[in-house]
Amino acid sequence: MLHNIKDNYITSVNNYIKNFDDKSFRKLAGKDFKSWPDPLEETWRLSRLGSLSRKKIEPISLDAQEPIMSKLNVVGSNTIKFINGAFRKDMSSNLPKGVSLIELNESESVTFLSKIKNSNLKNHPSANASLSCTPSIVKLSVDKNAKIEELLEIHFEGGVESSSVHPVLFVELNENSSLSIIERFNHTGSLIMPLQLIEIKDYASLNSIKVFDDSHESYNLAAHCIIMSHKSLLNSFSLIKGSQFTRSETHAYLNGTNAKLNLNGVYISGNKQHHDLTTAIYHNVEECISKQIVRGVLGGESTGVFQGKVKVAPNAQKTDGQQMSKAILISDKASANAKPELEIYADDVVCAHGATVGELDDDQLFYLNSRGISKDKARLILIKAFLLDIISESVEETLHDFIFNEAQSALSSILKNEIEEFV
Amino acid sequence: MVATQETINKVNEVGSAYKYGFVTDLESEKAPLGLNEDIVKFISSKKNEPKWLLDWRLKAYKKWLTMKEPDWAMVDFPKINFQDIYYYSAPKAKPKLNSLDEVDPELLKTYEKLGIPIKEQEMLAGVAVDYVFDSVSVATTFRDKLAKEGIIFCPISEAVQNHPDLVKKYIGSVIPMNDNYYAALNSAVFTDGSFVYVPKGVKCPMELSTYFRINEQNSGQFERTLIIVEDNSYVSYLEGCTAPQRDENQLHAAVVELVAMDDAEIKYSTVQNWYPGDKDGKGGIYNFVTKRGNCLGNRSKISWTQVETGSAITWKYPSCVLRGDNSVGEFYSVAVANNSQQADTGTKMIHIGKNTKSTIISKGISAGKAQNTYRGQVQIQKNAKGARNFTQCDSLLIGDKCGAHTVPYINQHTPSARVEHEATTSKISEDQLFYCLQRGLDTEQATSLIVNGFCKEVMKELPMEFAVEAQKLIGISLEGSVG
Repeated sequence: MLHNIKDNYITSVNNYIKNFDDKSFRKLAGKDFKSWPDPLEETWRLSRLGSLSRKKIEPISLDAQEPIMSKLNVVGSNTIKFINGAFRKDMSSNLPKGVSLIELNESESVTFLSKIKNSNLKNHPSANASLSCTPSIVKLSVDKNAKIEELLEIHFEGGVESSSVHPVLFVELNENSSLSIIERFNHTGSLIMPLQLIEIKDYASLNSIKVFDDSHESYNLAAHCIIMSHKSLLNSFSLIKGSQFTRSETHAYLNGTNAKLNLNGVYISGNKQHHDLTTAIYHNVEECISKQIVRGVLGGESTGVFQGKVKVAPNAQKTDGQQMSKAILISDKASANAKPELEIYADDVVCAHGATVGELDDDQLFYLNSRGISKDKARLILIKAFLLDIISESVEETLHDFIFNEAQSALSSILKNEIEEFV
Repeated sequence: MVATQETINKVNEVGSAYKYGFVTDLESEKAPLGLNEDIVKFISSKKNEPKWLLDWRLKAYKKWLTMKEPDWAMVDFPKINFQDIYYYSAPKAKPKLNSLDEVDPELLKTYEKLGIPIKEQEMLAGVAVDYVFDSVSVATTFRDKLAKEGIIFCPISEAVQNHPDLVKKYIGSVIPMNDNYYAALNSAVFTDGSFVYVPKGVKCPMELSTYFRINEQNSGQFERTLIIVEDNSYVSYLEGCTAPQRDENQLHAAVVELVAMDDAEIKYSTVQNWYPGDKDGKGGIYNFVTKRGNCLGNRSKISWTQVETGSAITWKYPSCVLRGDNSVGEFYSVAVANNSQQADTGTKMIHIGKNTKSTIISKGISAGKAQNTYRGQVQIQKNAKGARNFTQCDSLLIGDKCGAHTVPYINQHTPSARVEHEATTSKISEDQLFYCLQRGLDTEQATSLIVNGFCKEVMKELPMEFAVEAQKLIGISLEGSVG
């Protein structure tokens, strides 16, 4: 068991905050960071952090060296940059009218902390460590009734070896506003612990795309808390392809009637990567809809994990909760784990989940073979189709190509070992 | 099948309240209250057991002391005081019985009240019954006929005496003594249970059946069943349970182990209707059972069918370890939870051999304030090339205070295998209900009809003898849940 071992990293986080005032949000958060999740803990059983506790990692210092900016595929023109976990105004572009970006002051940060502590992220290592060590909590807010047409890009970069970065972002959509964002995680370094709170007020809607593409040595433990109000809408799509170990954990609270949530994701894993998509959707009030589609392609010796929980509270009648996860194994040494979970306390609901794990369909392969397409090429076509299907369903049309190319680059690197004449 | 009519009638008579609430007055011999090494020795010496078995029990007891009660299941009950239970109670020792006439008439009366007329059953469609009355088997019928085929069907305590090699070889081979908390407890203190051995190439000519009955107040029942089926053989085993009405919770921690060799098939069916406690959840049986089958041989098959309507708390996961190539595991389950019942039940399918196949069909029905959880695991190990699993678990909610939960685990480690899982949760369709009401059924009848339709896929797997009883039981269990 890990929790009794004095851990380097936990000690250094506690050192980091020891000079802060006792009432500081950093200290309040840090005092709960006593251990890594125990492997016996149900939600961490399949994604073990044991190796982290054996590593020498420290929270990144504020004067850490800046990365050489990678050339990123910029889709739009509005870019917000976080370097080493800190918001960099000097590198970010001007924001469209109706959008504001501020760093929270101490009392606002305490309020933020209490929101996180009220959620099931309260014991998440990223919640506690990141609130302790973040340069600042950054709040991105959209004014009431503001409909932002332009796409907003948020880049998270930086990181150095043996250190952890802690970008903390609070996205707030006020009543009847709308926004589209695309976030990319391109860190190097050892440990990335992004924490996000996304609040969507009445009638507001958010389109969100996340691409996890950190360097292959890193661990990314992203934690998201989503709070949705009456008639709000969130279309969320995550593409996980980077890191040696990525776990994206999302807790979504449907607290207003008629809220609608689409929480989709794709993971593409190769080599010895470990990718974990863990979600929990809480239907707390009546007549909300949640839909979830998850797809995974696993090559090399990788492992994929999907844990999806849908919890329907006793009074959340007329809930519609659907969930579907599919994983394809393309190498002998890859493995996939799924735990789709329903916890239902209301009777007038329609909830369903499905999960499949397997290889490509023999009949489909045969069909393509019989039309003169080589076996490898046929496999490639089918894998692409498998992903294209969900991408086109969950991403706005203008971003199809961009996301598909992102997926393709990951695919080509895992497939070249499996498929000889990769094209 | 004229004689079964009597069974049917008996079952029909079962009214709205729990009818099986009566206590048979039999003098019984008890071990002192509580559990320690001496109690384990007492049980062992009472059974006149060989040294190796006593050692085995003591080892299990020591392991048990170091283990913790599992707390991951979605059930909630006051902590059990394991020192407040009698671990041994048996009807007073009697000379060996040669025929049913020698059985205590009190006992026979109990079974009659249960709607299982023994004498009729003897003549009935080949059902041999191994009666377990408070942990000790008192009569076994049809043994001669079975013996002719070379089949051994006897209480496990007798098998220990007469077939020690078989027992020694297989006991604990499927469920190790330290498998889990309750299995360890059972290994230490099991009192009796059934033993079945089917030799090579024998199709058991009749359905083997045991009726369990918990009777003595505060006596935990620790049954141990071991079924071994050799190459090319087949057996179908029925297990049915009812218990008298009591105010205090009673613990039942059984262990069932099945072993199937090459081309062997075991069909294990259970109808469990123990006292579920009253409307407010007072009393009722705690049913913490470990059941596992080992498909050791190639092309072997193990099939679990269960209808769970009773017990205050059910914690039960009949599982299959598919070790032999091309072996097959099946799990069909109906779990009904009404009032304050809590059920956390499901299965594990562990695919080890090539081309192994498993099917899981689970139907959960929650009503009243009950919580019903399906918890299952499908694991495809590295060498299980071409393995195949299909899982379907559906839940039905009746009333707005109950809960239905689904917790499946899928662990897939080989690409050529295929795992499919689907689950749905919903309430009874208004249209179906309306249709039935319109045709003159009342709400309760209509509900029962619809629920039975919902469970049909599982019911059709039950042997004839059970199917009728099970259908009625579901109706009875749901009484008071509507309107």
